[in-house]
Amino acid sequence: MELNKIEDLLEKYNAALTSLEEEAQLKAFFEQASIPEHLKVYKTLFDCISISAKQSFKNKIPLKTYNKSLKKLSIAAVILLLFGLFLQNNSKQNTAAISDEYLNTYAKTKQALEMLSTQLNRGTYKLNSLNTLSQSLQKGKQNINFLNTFNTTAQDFFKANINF
Amino acid sequence: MMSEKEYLIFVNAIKNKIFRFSKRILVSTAEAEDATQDVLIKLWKLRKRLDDLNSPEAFAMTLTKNHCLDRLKSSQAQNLRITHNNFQDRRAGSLQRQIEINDTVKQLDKLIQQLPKKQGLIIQLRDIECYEFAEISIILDMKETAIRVALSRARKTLRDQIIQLHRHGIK
Repeated sequence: MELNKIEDLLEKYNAALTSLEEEAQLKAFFEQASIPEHLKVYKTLFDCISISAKQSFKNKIPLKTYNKSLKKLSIAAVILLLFGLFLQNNSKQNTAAISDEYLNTYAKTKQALEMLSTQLNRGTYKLNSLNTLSQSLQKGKQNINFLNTFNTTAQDFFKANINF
Repeated sequence: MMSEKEYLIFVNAIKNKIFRFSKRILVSTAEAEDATQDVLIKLWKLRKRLDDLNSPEAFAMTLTKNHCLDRLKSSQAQNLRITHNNFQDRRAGSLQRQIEINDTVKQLDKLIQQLPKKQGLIIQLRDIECYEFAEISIILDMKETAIRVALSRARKTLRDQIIQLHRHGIK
């Protein structure tokens, strides 16, 4: 490109009137090695600009921020599930062991309790006779009531006699 | 609705711009990396709405600007000074020319840093990221004429400063 054209463009550039295309032309021009002395300033400027534009972000792009938590959640769920299964299995084995070891004791205890129960039943049977006693006492009480009424009528009768 | 794949394509095209823009505001590379990470997460959460926007990219840059300015505000409130980090890739400068360029890039960074804040951002968006004035207008919430005025001032200041540096022989 002709030098005076570049100088015109630079003037427009400084006035902020260049388009992006014209600015690209300028940048391309200043990329070449041989630049006239009076334009070296712009060489420095555009060199710096093009280097600045090459700085890059080297870290990883954070992705799936909520997917990550979902992953964690599912892992936790699986662990819980496995734990639950383990517990269930364990308790089953426990019952098997108990039935073998403690069945005897269980039977003995049952026998003892049954014996106790029969003794208690006998006791209640004896209490039944107490019941009949109570019934006869009740009858006696009724008879006494009759006596009572007889007594009061007799007294009334005596009172009536005295009045005569 | 942006699918995961579309989101990745979108973000891959724009992540460096977000990073550089963050760095222009926050100065420190580490701070800019954190900010970029945060902005990308925000974009991921907003991906359902990105498609409906006229310019998802301008929206992303606006988000970046707001996020970084917020961070700057809170870090200043906590009285934490963000220090200027040098370019990390200085070890790559085995060639004299490379070192010189890196040094001048650093110088230019400092010069842009010394510009009024808005001017620095405009230089970043126009000269480094090559955005149209209409897009810059959305991102910075400024009128195009105001942007042109500020840009012209910034470019002239930078040119004059570089001339001074050359004169003092500091390359």
